[in-house]
Amino acid sequence: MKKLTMPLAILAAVAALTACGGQPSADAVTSDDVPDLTDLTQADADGSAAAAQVGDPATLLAAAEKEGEQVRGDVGGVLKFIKEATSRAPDAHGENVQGQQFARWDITDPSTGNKVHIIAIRTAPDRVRLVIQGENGDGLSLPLLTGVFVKKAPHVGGGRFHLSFDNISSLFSPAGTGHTGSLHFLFANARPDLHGRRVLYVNVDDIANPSGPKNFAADLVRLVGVGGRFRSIYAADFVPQVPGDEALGMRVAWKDGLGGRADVVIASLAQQKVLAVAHECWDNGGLRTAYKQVPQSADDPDAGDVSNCSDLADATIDQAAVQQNGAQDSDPDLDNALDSDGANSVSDADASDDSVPDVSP
Amino acid sequence: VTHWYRALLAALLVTTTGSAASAFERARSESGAPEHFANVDVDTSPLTIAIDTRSLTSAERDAVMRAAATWAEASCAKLRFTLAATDTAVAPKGSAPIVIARGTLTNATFAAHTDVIAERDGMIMSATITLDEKRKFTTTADVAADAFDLESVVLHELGHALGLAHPIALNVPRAVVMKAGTKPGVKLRKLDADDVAGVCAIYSR
Repeated sequence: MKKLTMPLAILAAVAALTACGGQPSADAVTSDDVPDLTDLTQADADGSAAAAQVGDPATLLAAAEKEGEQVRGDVGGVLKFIKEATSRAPDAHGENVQGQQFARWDITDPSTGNKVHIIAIRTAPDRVRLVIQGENGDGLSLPLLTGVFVKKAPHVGGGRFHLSFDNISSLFSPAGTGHTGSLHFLFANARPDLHGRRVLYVNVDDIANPSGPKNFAADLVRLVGVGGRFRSIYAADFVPQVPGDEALGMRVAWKDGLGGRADVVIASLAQQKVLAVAHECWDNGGLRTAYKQVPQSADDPDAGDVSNCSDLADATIDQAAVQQNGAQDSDPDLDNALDSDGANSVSDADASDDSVPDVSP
Repeated sequence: VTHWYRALLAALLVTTTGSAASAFERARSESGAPEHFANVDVDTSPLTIAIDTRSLTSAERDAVMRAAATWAEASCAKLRFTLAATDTAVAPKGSAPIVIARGTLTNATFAAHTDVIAERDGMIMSATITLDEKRKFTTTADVAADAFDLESVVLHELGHALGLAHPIALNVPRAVVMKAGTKPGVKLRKLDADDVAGVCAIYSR
């Protein structure tokens, strides 16, 4: 899946546009009403990506970083675009006929005629509905992103957003290219100690090279100043020689300045059995300190003790608990944050409401 | 999402299914485009390598060019390398498509590093390979246990310069040049079939 970034020309056009004047009212929608998810979408520096690192670099760490990079590209690209595009005064703002405060930012790519309208409308004192409406040079107009931001303070709070790959591809990708499906994400970043996000890719496929719709889910929790954890589940027919779909579950946990661990389980959904398990520990430099795999591998031999690397024994997968929960691997801390920061208060219907808001002053 | 997961899974399942899978991984630009040098041709447009003659000895420069020749031997790829004029003592960054020099690496776990400058569309503008000046490198046929084989390290780094990343699959054979990690005393001067598949995916004839 390609990273989702708006054309540079559109971003450049933002700077060239002239802002509307006027003094905003106390409850006016401003750039403060747009979430800033920098620490949940910005890539950590990975200096080892093109280096000859001395030792055995941690493979599962690299895989997790690759996955994080993908999600950051898709979610972070959109959020960064919104943040940059709304950092200036809106092109239109005021109160609509329903008495709701709104703001609208218009961005045009002069080279293609493509347009993007970011519309923010206050539906409650602490709640802003966001819609990004795209329009291509042929005049076709479709919603690209919908959702609700529950603001606890400027730029922080909770929220739930849906991004349509179908509509992005229909509007801006050359015919026969792009992706189908959608991306759904929830976030919580109001607490000082814990920021988190949950991402779901639903029925995503490559239009040019279709291989069947795929579903993927990933949770990221950042324990501010302490470390973090990441868990994901992905189901698809990855391996043709194994009948049916396979599911891959991954858990990664790390402590800042110390190291981390990863645990991976691969199971055949058709055969209802675990195919392989791998555990890996690494030090602060990203070098493997212990590894265990079932079945064993000659190229990645078992070595060291994977039971309590970096004092993260409780971060491994509790298979009994997972089975008791019907194969769900939840993160109670993230669930609590999504509750307290308001993300879980946004219904699926509200998050996916793609009607164009009335912004008639 | 699909691509790297497939690689991760397929490799882990080799021991289960007995069938190998491609592990090579292409480096990508900030916009996700696969990185590559443009307009490379074996006959008309070879890639020029500039070697810092101040920090690399003649024997080391020969080892660098042997490593380059090893990549060019991949018959399915349209690669050829030429050595830039070496009458200047220092080859500055960007003075040729590929520049190699000794220098300071801030990460204490690195023996070498390749800094690739690429456009958003993936086109590589320049690649600078830095060999850690604090490390002991050798070019001899027998590699001492406390020294890094310069030809092996440069072979790996040239793979990055050409647009390859480390495979992220599990259980990648140790014979794969682009597998992450290096150790002193180890000699790996030939490409694995997976390395060849990778470079040919970028520069196929």
